[in-house]
Amino acid sequence: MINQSKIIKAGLTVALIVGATIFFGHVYPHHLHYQEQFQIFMFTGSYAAEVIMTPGGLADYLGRFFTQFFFSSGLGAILIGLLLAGIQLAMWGLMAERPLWAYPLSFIPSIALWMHLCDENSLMGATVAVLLSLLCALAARQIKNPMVQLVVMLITTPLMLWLCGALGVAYPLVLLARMKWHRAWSAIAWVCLTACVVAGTFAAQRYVHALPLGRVVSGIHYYRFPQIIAAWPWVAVLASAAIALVSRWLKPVAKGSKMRYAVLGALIVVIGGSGFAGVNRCSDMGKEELMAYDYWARTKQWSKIVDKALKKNPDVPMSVACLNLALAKTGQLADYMFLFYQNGSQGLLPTFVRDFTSPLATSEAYYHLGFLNTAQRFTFEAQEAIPDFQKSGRCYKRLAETSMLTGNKAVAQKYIKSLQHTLVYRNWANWAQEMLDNPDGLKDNPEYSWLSAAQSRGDFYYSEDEMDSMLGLLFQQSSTNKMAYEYLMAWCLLNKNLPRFEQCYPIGAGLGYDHIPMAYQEALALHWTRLGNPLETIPWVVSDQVCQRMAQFIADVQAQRPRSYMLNAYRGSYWAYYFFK
Amino acid sequence: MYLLLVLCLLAGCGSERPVDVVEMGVEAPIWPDYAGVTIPVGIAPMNFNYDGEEDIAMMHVAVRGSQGGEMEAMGEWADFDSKQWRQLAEQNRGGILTFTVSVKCKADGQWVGYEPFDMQISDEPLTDWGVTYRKIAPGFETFSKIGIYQRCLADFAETPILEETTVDGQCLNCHYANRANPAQYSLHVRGKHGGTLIHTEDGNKYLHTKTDQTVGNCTYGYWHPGGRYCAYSLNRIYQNFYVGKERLIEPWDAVSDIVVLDTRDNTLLTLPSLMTDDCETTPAFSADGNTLYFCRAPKVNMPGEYQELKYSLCAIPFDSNTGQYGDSIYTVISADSIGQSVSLPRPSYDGRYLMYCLTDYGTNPVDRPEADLWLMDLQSGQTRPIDEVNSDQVDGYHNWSSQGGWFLFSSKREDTLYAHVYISRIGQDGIATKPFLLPQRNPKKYYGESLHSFNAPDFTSEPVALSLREARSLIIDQSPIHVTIKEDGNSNP
Repeated sequence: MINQSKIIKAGLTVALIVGATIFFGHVYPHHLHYQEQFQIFMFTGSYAAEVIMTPGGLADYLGRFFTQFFFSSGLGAILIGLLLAGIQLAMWGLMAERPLWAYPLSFIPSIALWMHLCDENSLMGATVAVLLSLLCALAARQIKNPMVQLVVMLITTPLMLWLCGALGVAYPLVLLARMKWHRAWSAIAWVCLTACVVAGTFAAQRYVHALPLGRVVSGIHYYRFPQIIAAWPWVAVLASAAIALVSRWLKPVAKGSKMRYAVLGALIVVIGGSGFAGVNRCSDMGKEELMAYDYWARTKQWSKIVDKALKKNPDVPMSVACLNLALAKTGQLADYMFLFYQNGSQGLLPTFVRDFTSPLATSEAYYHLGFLNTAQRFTFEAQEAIPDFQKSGRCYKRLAETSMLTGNKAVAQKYIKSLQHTLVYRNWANWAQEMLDNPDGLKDNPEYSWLSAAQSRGDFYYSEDEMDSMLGLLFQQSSTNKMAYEYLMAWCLLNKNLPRFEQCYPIGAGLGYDHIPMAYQEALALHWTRLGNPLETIPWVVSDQVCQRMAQFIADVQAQRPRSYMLNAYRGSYWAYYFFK
Repeated sequence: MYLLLVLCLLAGCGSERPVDVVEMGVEAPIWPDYAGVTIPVGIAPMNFNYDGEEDIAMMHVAVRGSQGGEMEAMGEWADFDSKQWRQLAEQNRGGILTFTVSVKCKADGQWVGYEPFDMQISDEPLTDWGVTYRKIAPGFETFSKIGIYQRCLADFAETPILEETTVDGQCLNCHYANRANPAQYSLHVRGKHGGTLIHTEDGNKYLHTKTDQTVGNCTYGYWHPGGRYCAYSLNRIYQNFYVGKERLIEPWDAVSDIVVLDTRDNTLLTLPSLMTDDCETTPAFSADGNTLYFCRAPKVNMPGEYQELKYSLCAIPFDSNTGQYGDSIYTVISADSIGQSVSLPRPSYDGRYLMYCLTDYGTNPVDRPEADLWLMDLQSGQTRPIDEVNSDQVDGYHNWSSQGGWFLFSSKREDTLYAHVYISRIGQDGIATKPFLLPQRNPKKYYGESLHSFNAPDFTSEPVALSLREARSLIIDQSPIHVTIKEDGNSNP
């Protein structure tokens, strides 16, 4: 029987680990990639001191430590699974009475934190803070003498508040809730605890005087937006205290009774079902998709972007911009861009927005085009906009790359030195350091050598309103920059500026196209006919198929076919975009 | 026993001296370049790092004073003992410290020696307690954690005066003290709760300085020596960004005017000729307070004609007794005649000099490699570039020490992007000493890891004491006091 009980408990805990691993590793992996890019964890004493010397700093430091592994979603998912299991086991250990049927209760704090982690702005510091608090309570539980336990608790509570932040209150709360003390003792303990927490909080606020008291009370490192109080970690804390309290009155169901398994099963279903529903409700698959596009663009997995888009068209500027970039990088933009949903020039080079996400995806496009200064600016702006003031490994790397390629060795050196202290970016940083010392080595790297040559030069202003001029100048400076040409063409097409398209079209003559790309053929045919010319006299080599389809399109327009018919019949053509988007 | 062993080992390490030194006969490769600089007596230890090609195991520096005394430093970098440093500097006031650097190569354990170099200890004291500056990542439109900080000159301690986290994400702008007086300063805040914090001996007040009749909030400020008035430019600043790789950013004023704030009754003293369609900016009172300097440029079509926007240095009399401007504006340095643009006039507090920044165009030297410091002798009227301190990168945002002589400025000479604070001194002969980078405990590590520019530095005679709780309450919780225009342009004495 004992073995069976152990097996059931182990099975449920393993199910939690496996469930979390599958969820974060396969269903929600890009949320982990997203998390990783908004921090840079450095193995240096000064970094550790800087993070730890704030209220909640240890939990934050460990949270950041775990987050760095999110670069590999599989590894990150396993770590999350283990941390959640650790919290669950600690909770079980803290229950005063532990009948088997109550085992599922110990999962509630972990599930609350799982739900917390579904939010892309939740930070791992909260999970670590709860785990550390429960582990500390577990250790203090070993003290049998209530008076000694109280004294220890009072001494260590401020420490826990300092190390874990406001969530550290879980430690004394759970400990007090599970104790079966004399009423007078309990009253004294609660009064002392309250005084201790208040004093500790004020002391912390005085120490970190730059922070308002409210921020210290609600916790600093649990959510990326410091002004927002993350609810789920507090649910986890309160649930932990409530479970510890309730556990004092739990009674075992008689051995051999069928009720024992029935209650266990019912609790598994209720808690598991609620957890599933909660996680489902808290997760945002739309954002996951967006993050996937950004991650693949960042890691240059162009075919994955195209494959994904073929299954489901992206429809927000950021993901469409990633798709167009992927099409350009795989040589398909000019032919096939209108096979996919297009939302105007915003889907090519989105307008700058002051936040920490969209400029990153846009900067990828500028980087690959050769607008290194602009890529650097967008990256810098994104990093500066990270709400909790962290720096970003992804941004550091891009800033180092652009500084290196624009010849600003001293600035590149700053970023590279920091990256050398990281786990994820160290190899690249070491290589980059070699390149700084020996710039000729850059020539062996196709991407960098190409960008080095193709980057924009001269002092002309960035202007979102004159992007076509910018792209034209870029192409003029490097006439082999096919991507600049195709973006220029795409910009004209997406803005439905056919005269400009026609004007710029010939400058790509030397790029070695073996045919006029499909979208260009359709645009040229459209432009020609809109000028009132017969298709037969079109001066460009437009295929018969396109001409016939154009003729049919004109006929259908003249026949005033409904919009739905036209969209369906001419799906994937530039004409459908031009007239119906 | 173990403790004894460890102590013995440590003692053994500490007592290692360079042996069999191979003299290279070249200058010591150190960073920062402190060779030949002039320093004040009370400055923090001028620590430096080895900056040569070798991978070194250890660095040894012997310092000998021309007026006696010596000390040593040994370790990864030259980290001098503060107490010994202070004593040695004091003993050699007006003399010379000679530094002899040798390093132990990691590869073969060979000690290598370099030519000794000197630092001059000035007999002119730098009486100010420290420096203030804004630390900001040199970005474009977005800002992260900005703060105004103060740094003690006698050691390496830096403390925040006000950080962005205290005031919920408001952008903190430059801090302007009245002649390095920490009891009187103003601080401009931008954002939802934007305004101007005025700190005087009477306490703090938070002003909303935009009125229906003025073009913007008080931006660049300069106190009248009497302490009642503070001149401001009201700027509407725009930025353009370069696409090419040579330059990054072009900030410019769409509109800018000059006003003087009467801090006694929170009114603005305006004058139509200081609020024209031209651009008037960066005001500064003369040492006696009777003249208000400012920069003025004729309006051009921006941003297209940005290279035509050239500012002249102008001046207008100001009577602090009546709070009245003089009758006429006169040009001190004409942009037309020099073909360049003047910005940031800063008269020395003894009335002898006026230091300013010269660029090819515009008023903000932040991204202008050609930006250099110039000095006007107010007695002779002669001007000259301060070649002794200028570099081929941005040099600007200068300020004088409260007792004259010493001055500081920001320079991007190290890496073209990050501005650092340099200190120098103008001697009786009008010649500036070689500037030194604000010392740090481990300079290479500190500056190497720092991703901040040290913006708009100034001296402070004593530590600035600002109650953060009060500052937060004023900026976030309370409504600012709305300034008004003093209709007659006069002020009650």
